[in-house]
Amino acid sequence: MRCDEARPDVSAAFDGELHDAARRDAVAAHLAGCDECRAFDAQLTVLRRRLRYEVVAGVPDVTAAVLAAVRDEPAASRPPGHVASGVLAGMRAPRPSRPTSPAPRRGRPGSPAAARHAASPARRSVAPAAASRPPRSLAPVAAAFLAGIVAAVTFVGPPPTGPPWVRPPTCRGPSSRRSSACPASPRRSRSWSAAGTPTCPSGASAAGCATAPRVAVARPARRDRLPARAVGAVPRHRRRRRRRAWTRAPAACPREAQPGCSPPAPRVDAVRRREPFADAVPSPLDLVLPVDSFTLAAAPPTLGSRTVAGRPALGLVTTVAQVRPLLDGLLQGGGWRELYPSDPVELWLDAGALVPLALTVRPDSGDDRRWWAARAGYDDPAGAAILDVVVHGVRINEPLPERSFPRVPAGVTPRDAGFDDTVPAADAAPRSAAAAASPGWLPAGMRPHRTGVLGGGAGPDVAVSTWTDGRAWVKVRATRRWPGGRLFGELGQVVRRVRLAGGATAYVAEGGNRVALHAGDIDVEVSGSIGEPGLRRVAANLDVAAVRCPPDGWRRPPRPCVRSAAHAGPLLPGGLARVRRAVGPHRRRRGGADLPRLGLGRAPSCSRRRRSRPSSAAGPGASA
Amino acid sequence: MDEPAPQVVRAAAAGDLDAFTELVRTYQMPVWRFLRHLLGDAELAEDVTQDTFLRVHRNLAGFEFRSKFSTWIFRIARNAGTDALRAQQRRARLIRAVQPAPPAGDAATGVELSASLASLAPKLREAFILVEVFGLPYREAGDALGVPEGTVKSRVFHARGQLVAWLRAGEPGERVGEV
Repeated sequence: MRCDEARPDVSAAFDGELHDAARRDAVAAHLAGCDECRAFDAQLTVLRRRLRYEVVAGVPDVTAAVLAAVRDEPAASRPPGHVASGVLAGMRAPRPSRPTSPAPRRGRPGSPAAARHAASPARRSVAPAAASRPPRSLAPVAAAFLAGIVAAVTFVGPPPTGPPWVRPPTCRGPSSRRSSACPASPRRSRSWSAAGTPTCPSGASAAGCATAPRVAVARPARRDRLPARAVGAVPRHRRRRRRRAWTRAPAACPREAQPGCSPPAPRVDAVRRREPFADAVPSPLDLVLPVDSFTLAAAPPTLGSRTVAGRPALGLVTTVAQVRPLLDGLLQGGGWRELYPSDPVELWLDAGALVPLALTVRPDSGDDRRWWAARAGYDDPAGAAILDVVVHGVRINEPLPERSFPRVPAGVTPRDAGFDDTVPAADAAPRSAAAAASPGWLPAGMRPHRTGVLGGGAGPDVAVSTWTDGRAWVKVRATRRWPGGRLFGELGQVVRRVRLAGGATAYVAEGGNRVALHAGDIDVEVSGSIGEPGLRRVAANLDVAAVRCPPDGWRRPPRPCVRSAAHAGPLLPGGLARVRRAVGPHRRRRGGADLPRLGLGRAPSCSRRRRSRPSSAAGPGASA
Repeated sequence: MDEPAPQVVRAAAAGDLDAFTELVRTYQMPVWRFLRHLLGDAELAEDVTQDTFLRVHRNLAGFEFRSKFSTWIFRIARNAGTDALRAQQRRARLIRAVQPAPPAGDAATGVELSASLASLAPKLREAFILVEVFGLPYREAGDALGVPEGTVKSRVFHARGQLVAWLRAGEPGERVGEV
C-alpha cells in the first residue's frame, strides 16, 4: 500500500470510521513500516487536542436576543400554539453574566440582529428565561428507592461529580451472595423525607454552589401506596380532587455561565393530571434511586460504616455518571455546578432502608478531566471535595409534616399532563387495552398503584397501569390505536429485538429499562425500575401475541409515517425506536440478541423512500 | 452531545417559549463555537448564532425526528453560516474594488490554529469542524452538510492533510479548491 492510498484510511481510522477489517489490517501493517505515515497519525492527535479541547472564553448568551426577536416576529412565522406564557415570563429574572464573559450582545452595529434589536423597545426588558434541564430517564434502575426529599437541601461547594450508581453485587444477587454489608432485606421505605444542607468546601467559589435551593418534595406514608401524584405540594385532602403537583426551585445556571453564576430567580413548575412515573413530567416523588446500579464494579470500593444524620450508614464509592439520576432529581432543587461523569462520589446510604443520606464528590484525575475543567472554568484541586450533600431530619415510614405539601403558589397555572385516573365509560378501547396489558406475573410485593388513561391530545388514548412495592415500580402502557410507522414507546434510537420466554418477539431499549411489544391490534410498552430481566418477564406474561414489526409495512409505507408520528401530539411517547433493517444483511449479533441498526438521521423502518440529496444550501433554515 | 427530550422539542414546536429557551441554552455554545470556527470571526458568529436560532424557531414545526436534533441544528447553523460567508465575500469584493488589497500575512504570524482553519476552503472547514471539534460521526456530519458520508471522509482527510502540513511548517496552509 502506498502512502497516498493509506492516509485517507489512516484519517478514517482515527475517527473510528474504518469499518472494513481487511483495510484496518492493511493500514496497521503500513503504519508499522512507514515513519512518515506514523508521524501523520501522531499529528492528527495533536490537532484533535488543540481543537476539541480548546478553552472557550467569551461565549455569548444569545438567549435574550433570540427570545425578543421571536416575540417580535409576525404571528404568521410563529409555530402553531405560540403563547407568551405570561405567568412564567413575569417570574423571569436576569441571569447574572459570568465575569469573564461579555454581556449578551444584540448584534453589531448595522447588522440585521442590531436592526432587530433597535426595532424592539421591549427587548431591553426581556431577561433570559429560567433555565431548566430536560428530564433524564431514571433508566438503569433495578431495586429502587428513595422517595422524596422534603425540604431544604443545602449544598455547599461546587457541583458534585461522581461515579455511576451501582448497587453492590452483594445486594443484588441471591441471599447466598449477600454480605453483612448489605441488608438481606432492606426495610420497606414507604416514605422518606429529609432536609439537606450542601456546603462549599473551603476555597471553593460560593457562587458556584450556594444556591440555597429549597425543595418541597415528599412521599407520604399512606399504607403501602405511593401517592406519586402528589408531586411536591398538594395538601393531602386536595390531592385526589386536583391532582396537582408543583415544584419551585432556582433554575440551573447554564454551563457557560458557571462557575461565577448566581442562579436566577426560582421557577415554579406546576402540572395537573400527571402520569405516574413520567419522565416528561419529573417529580421528585418519583425519584426512585437505582440501588441496583450503584457501581458497575464487581466489588465496589466500600467506605465502611458511620453515622449520618443520626442514622447508621454504609458507604461506597461510585461515580457521578452512576448517581446521575439522583443528581438530576436533586437538581430540581437548585442550580449546581457541572460535574464530570467520572468524578468519584462517596455515597452514604441508610444501613436499613438504603436511602441516600450523604454524598461527597471529588474531582477525577486525568487529562480529559483537566481539559474539561479548564474549558468549563473550574479550578478543582486534586482530592478536594467539590460538592458535599448531607441530609438531615430524615424520616422513614413516619408521617410527614403538614408543611410538606404547601399550596401551589398563587398565580401559577398548572399544565395539563392529560392523565385521567378514571377510564371514560363511553370509550371501551382504553379499557380493553388495559385488560390485555395486565401482566400475569409481577415481582413479589408489587401492588397496584395508579391506573388511568392518557389522552386528550392529538395522539391515541393510552391505557396506563402501574404497580409498586414502595421502592421499585412497573408501568405498562398500551394502546389499540397506534398508527404504526415506528415502535410504540420511548425506547430511544437503539433497540434490541429479543425473544421472550413464551416465544413472543419484543424490543428492548438500549438501557434495558423499556420493553416494547407489537401485536396486530395492540401496542404495549413495559417500563420500570426492576431491571431488564424483570421487565422481559412482565412482558412475557402479558396477554399479547407480540410479533415482529411489520418488515414491509413499516419500511415502505404509502406515506412517510414519521411525519405523522412527529405531529401526533405532545402526549405521545417520542423517542421512538426506529428499527432499521430488522432483518437483512446488516443484522448483527450482540449479546445474544439481534441488534438492528437504527437510522439516526432517517427512519428507514417507517420510510425508505428515496430522498434526493439536498443541495448545499437546502434544508431547514436555508434561505430561499 | 446531549439530545433534548422529544417532549421538549415538541413543546417548543408548539410554541412553548420556555421549552424553546431550554433548547437555545443547550445549543447556543456548540452552535457559536461551530460558527466561530467556520466564519473565523467571533462577533459575526454571534450574530449568525442569533440568526440560526431564529431559523430554528421558524422551522421547528417541520422537524420530523428523522435525524438527531443536534444534527438538524448544525445543519441550520451551517446554512446560516454559508449565507453569512457569501455576504462577507460580497462585501470583500466591494472593498477590494475600492481600495488595494492588504499585504499578505507574514508566515511568522501564522501561529494560531484558527488561522490555519481559516485557510481551508469552507467546504473542507465545515466538515472538519463537525468531525474534529464536535466529534460527529461521518454519517451525521453528512446529514448536517447534505453530502454523502464518503464526501465527508474525503473532505476531512484533505483538511487534515493541509493542517498537518501547516503544523509541520509552522505556517498556514495554502488555500485549495473545494472538493
